[in-house]
Order: sequence, then structure tokens, then C-alpha cells
Amino acid sequence: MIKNAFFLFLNVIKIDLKLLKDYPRIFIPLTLRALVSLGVLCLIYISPYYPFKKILGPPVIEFFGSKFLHYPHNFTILPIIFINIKNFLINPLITSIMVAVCCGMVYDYHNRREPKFWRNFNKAVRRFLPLSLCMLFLVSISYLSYRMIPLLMIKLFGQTEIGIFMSTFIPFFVLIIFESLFVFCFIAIMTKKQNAFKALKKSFIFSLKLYPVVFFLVFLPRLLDLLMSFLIVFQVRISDMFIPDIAVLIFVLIILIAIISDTLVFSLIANLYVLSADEN
Amino acid sequence: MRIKKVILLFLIICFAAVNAGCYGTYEAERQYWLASREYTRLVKSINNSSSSDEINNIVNERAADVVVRLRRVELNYPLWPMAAQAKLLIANVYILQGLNERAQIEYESIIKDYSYYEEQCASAMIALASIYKERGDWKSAEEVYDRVIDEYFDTQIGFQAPLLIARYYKSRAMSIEADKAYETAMNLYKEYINDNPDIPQSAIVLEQLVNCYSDQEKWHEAINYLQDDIIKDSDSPLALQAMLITGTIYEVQFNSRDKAFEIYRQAVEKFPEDPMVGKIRDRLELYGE
Repeated sequence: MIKNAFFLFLNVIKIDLKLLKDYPRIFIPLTLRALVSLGVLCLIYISPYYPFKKILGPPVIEFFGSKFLHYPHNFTILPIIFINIKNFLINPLITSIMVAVCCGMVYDYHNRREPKFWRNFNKAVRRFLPLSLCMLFLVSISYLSYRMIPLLMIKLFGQTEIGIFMSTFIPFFVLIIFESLFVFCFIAIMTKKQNAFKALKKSFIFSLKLYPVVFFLVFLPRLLDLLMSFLIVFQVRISDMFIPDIAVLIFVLIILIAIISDTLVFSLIANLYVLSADEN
Repeated sequence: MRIKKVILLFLIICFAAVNAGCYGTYEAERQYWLASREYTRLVKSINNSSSSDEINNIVNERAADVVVRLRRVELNYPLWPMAAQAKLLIANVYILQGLNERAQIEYESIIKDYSYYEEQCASAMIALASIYKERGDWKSAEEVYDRVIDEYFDTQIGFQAPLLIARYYKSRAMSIEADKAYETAMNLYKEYINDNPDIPQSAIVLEQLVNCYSDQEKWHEAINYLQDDIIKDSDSPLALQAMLITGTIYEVQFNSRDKAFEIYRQAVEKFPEDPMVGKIRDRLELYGE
């Protein structure tokens, strides 16, 4: 059983790497998501500059205060604004579609069709609502675990190095556990035209059958994201060492790394889904 | 191809947007913050140094770079308030380098060119008076202090001028002049507090007034003034500050913790919500009060 799971795990990775090598266009959907994220980051960064301040300044003043339109205080709220916009706007509106396109392209490859972006994009846009609801569900889990668990960890370990490490690692781990359970929902919606609830249920059942394989296929690429999370945690120290503007570079790096990690996660999962479905 | 065009267009828009905003007050703030951080680091390194050789090395290595950064702010944004502040820091670096003449030119230029920035002008004047004092030219120094009192008394630095005059005489053991200067200073401070009891600057003036009492070791007079003129029948933030000062005088100067704690308790009861009371409350609890 373990041996089979291990071979399946290696096989999925092998097929996925070959697929990505033969069709690098599979990176396009999440690259487009990255461009949107970079655009948003750019808007937040330039919000204190004239003339952008005239339009982008009032919301910042309303929510955070006028102090945060001044250097270097604007960099203390940049992560908060960016992460919230990413979680509650970019992810449900853009990432949900792009992830589905990525899965659809992998599915096309296995069905001996050319993995085309626009065809899958049109298909994903038509299934926007369930895709978006599934993404919101995953975002909510992520939001809750990154909100609640760090508070608990800091209470248990205090503001020590261990406390900081645990408050970054444990929410990440919890998120991976949940993501592994529901990650198949996107490909299920793309291939079976299911609604959000049915897709989540199907993903849960499907994932439980192969849970260790799914877990590690999600966990390995997500280690890149974990490294990036530590960059956010130590952002203040890094800024002190260099200049506060480095916060923007950190987020650019995070966005770029997310192209690789997300594409890997969703292409691996789509491959596993197709291969396991074939076997069944 | 279409996607490549979209990506290229996006990058051009981002580049244009960022570059379009590279001028204006935000960029001035940014340049000033980065330059003043270098200044702070320089001063910190000097304060942490143990020998004069080490200090000389630090100054020789880093002072010129700090001046260049600050000068850039002054030249690029001459009409911006922080330009005067940058000039002030440049003069301070010259002092660290032992270039007092250059520092003097900078201070005089601030007083002449930026007379509308009161805080910076007052700081420049006080620093200029110190240079005169160091040279032994007390007459010029006193003239500058008098000018501060006349023109920029209502500034954080300007409030120090009367006290600095009195302290000069005290340091020279010129007791008659010192007494007279302290009396003048105290009258000025009392008059200011009397006229403006509810503005935040009064807290700074009260500190200077207490410094006058402290220099002359007139602790009973200080307590009488604080209790009769500030605390009595008042619930202003200044009254709370006066209560805390009175408590400290009892505790430190008269070793009377009971009396001090009684005053602290009154302060906690009278101003339960004030953030200044928090630490006092913790101390009272620590001693089981």
C-alpha cells in the first residue's frame, strides 16, 4: 500500500515535470494572476505619490489614518492592505479562474488535446461562481488559521524565536492539511460541471482515499511559500538593515515565487486526479 | 502573441506610473528620512565609541557621506519644511567634525532663509549661542538667547532659552546674576502657563519651571507653586503632570514614600482614564496600595 502510494507520488511528479517542460504555457494562467497582483502592489506603492495620492489617498486615510501616507509608515500597512486585497479580491475573482484554467490545460493534455489557454479560460469564466465560492472557502480557512493560530502560539511561547517560528509554521501546516482535502474541487468543477458544494464534497472523498500522496504533493511546492512567509515575518528586520522600500521587493518576490508554487500544486493535483480516475 | 503584448503593456504602465510619481513631497520625505537615519546612525556610533581615536575614525569615514545625503534634500526640496531640518543636521555634523565656523554659517543661513519655520530657527539659534559660549563670547550668546525669547519663545526648543541663560551664570558661580536670571525665567514660565493652561506646550514649560526650582533646590517653593497654582481645583492634564512631579519630589528629595503615594492615589482617582496614570497604578499595586 505504502509502496504503491510512493510509486504513484513519484509517477505524478515525473509526468508533471515532463508536462511542464513540454508545455511551459501551463505557467501562463498563474503568471497572469501574478501580473494582476503586481499591478495591485504597484498601486499600493504609488498611493502616497502625487497625483495618485488624490485618488488612492482617501481610502488609506479613512481606514488607517493620514500618517500612513507618509514615508516610511506606508510600508507598515503595505503588507496588510496587499494581503487583504489578495485574499478577498484577487483570489476569488482571478486566482479561482486561473487555477481552473491551469487544471483544465493539464486535463486537455491527458485527453490528447492541445492545452489551450483561451478555450479553458472561456470554460472557467462560465463556471466562475462555483470556482469563486470554492476559492473563498479555502481563503477563509487560510485567513482563520493565520489569524487565530499565531495569537495562540504567541500566548504559549511569547515573542521568542520559537514563538515566531511556530506562529508561521503551524498555520501553514494547518492550511496544507485543509488544502489537501479540498484542492480537487477546481478540477472537479472544470471536468464535471459540479456546483461548489458538490465539488468540495467530491474533493474531500477523493482526497481521503489518497491522502498521504495528496498531502505531500501539496506540501512540497508550498514549502516555497513557507520560505516567503518567513520573509514577511522578518520584513521589519530586513527593512531596518536596508531600506523600508525593500518591503515592495519582498512582495514582488513572493508574487513571482507563487507562480511556480501554485502552478506546481495545481498541475500535480490535476495530474493525480486524471491518473487516479483512469486507474479507477 | 496577444499575451506577450498584454504583459509588455502592463510593464510599461507600471514603469510609467512609478516614475511619474517620483517627485513631490513623498519623495522629499523619503530622501530626508533616509539621510536622517544615516545621521542618527552616525551619532549612535559616536556615542557607543570608547576612545577619541575611534570617534575620529567614524567621523572621518562617515560624516562627509551624511552631509552629502542631507545636502541633497536641502538642494532638491528647498521650499519643504524638512529642508531647514536637513540644514540643521548638516550643521550638527560639522560640529561633530569640529568645523564650528561652517556650522555657524549653516545656523545663520537657517535663521535668515527659513525664519518662518519657528522650531528649526529656535534650534539653530540655541546651537549658535552654544558656539558663541564655547568661544567665550557670552555677550553674543546672550543676545541670541534674548532674540529667541523675543521671537521664538513659543517653541519646544525656544522654551529652554531663559533657563540656559540662568544656568550659564550658575556655572560661572555668578550668584547675583544667576538668581536674577532664574527669577526672570520663572516669571516667564509662570506667565506662559497662566495664559495657556490647556495647551500641550504648557507641559514642556512646566518641566522647565521645575528645572529652575530644581537647580536652586527650592523644593518647598516648587511644591507650593504646583499645589496652589496648578493642581488646586483643576482637572486639566497639566494638573495630573503637576501631581506626578509633586509625588516624585516627595519620594526622591524628601524620602517620603507615604506622602508621595498619597498624591499618586489622588492622581489615579482623579484621572482614572489617563494613559500617564497607568504606570503609577502598576507601582501602587506592586506596593500593595
